[in-house]
Amino acid sequence: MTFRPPLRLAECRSVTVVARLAHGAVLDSEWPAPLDGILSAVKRRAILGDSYGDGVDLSADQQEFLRQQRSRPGGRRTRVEPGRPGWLSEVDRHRRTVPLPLAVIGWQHFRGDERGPTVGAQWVWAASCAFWDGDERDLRYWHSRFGHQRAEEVCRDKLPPMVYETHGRYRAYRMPMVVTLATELRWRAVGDPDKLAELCRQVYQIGKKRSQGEGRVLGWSVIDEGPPDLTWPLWTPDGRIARPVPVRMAAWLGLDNPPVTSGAIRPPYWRPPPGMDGDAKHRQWRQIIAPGTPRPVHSHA
Amino acid sequence: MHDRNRVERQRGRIADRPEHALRARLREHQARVARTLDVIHDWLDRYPDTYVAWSGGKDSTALAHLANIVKPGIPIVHYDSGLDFPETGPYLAEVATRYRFRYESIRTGDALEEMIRGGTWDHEADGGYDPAVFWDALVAGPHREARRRYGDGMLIGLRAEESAKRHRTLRWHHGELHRPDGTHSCAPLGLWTTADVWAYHHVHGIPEHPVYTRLVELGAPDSALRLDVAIGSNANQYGRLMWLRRGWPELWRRYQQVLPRLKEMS
Repeated sequence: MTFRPPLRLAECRSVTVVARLAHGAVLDSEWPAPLDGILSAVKRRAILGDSYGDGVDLSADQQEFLRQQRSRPGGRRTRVEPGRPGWLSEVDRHRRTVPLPLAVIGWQHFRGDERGPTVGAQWVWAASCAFWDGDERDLRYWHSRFGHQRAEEVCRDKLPPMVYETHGRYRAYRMPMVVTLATELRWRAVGDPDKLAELCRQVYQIGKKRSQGEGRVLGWSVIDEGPPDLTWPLWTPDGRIARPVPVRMAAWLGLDNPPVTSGAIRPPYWRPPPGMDGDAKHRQWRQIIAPGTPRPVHSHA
Repeated sequence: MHDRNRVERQRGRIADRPEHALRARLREHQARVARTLDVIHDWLDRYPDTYVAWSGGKDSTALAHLANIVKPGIPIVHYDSGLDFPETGPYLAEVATRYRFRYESIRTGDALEEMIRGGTWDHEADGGYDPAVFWDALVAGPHREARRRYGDGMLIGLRAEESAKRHRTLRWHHGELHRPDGTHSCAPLGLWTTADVWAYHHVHGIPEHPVYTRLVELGAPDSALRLDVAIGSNANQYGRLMWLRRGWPELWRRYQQVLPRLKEMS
């Protein structure tokens, strides 16, 4: 199943996406809230429709794949069952990349757009991670404790003889979380402004611990910044690399031996992508340019 | 807004903070140090074949410094489980050279391998977890080897203030533990406060472990300024893995790739 970028570069505009926050958000320290990740989650929810989050979080394609796997006579029996640990990793390699109203960087040769690099499968969405003004942070905690009384009422027969709160699965938690204090988060992107605004409007909260009220968004705006420029989403205003970019794009960016780290280059960012041959059983992080890498002074990108 | 919890960017060494510098000048602190030197002296009279267990944390580093004053050349042993922070090895070597410790690092197994093999950190693993095997790689194996080399006595940096369990243990046994297997351990810093330890570091200018420096940069509260192996089963419910993820992202990704369930506690 081949992925085709949904937009030509000529159909796109350089934009700044702004989210007004109620009181900050819990963000990743390296690559905070990639815009393509947020939009992919929204789009995926729309694609899955009613089956989203009901425990059988599979698209029609994936369900058909599983059905075929199970019914194939003499074929490999998969131990994967929806709801069982491990089921997602088995079907992921057959999941299509969710199409977004963004340009892609890395497919320029195939798309006939001449202003970007051609790096084959290691393409990235033309969208940055979040940046914001100031450097204020707050340390908040979330807590979790086993409800003995409720458990007695609901499942007395199934409880173990002793429920320990100091260790094991019922342990009590007091977990810190670093909250970024900002009134606005901003992203740079190249895409279709109207469709981006439409998708963004479906996002009400950003970051971790949304169910606890963190990361509440008051409103979105998409500001048109002019003709499409693929370097626009790759650097923050203060000249740092703004999103995970594969190392093989370094030369195009004008970087000579940049610091390298590992990570994902496309959503979902929380999980190692499948191996180069698409093997979801052997996932591995990609080599990417390290966060904080400064923009070269003289570069065409 | 929770101003009380606002992350303040502390500058400089933790040991040189004003509260620790002032603590160092208190007669109470100085008396506590003198009493500890007496305790170590007395212990070494009773158990001359003793070594110091040194993790590189603030407590065991202060203890190693004290023990080396009482008995220069006392064996100081690090249990290398394979799960240390990358900064720990160079830090131990630096401190050992500066204070002329008779320092040795002992490794008998790979605790990370045991965690992977055990399967408790991977939903898809089929392995059977044996806590004894993991414990052997983490502590028991190096301890056995250190005992064989240096004797049955051991000085450890446990403090009552660290947890309720340690408080009970140290109070009940008056800071000494005599185990059925014939080993004898003593916690001379049992009644020290955290401020006492940092004050001792301040007075002697002991280098700060880079892990503490990094945790302060990240905005970790003082209660999170503890050094242990990078990953393990202790204190995960208090956000230990969250700090690892924020402060050592590359190390975190390496661990998470082989132990996927770490993510559930970060």
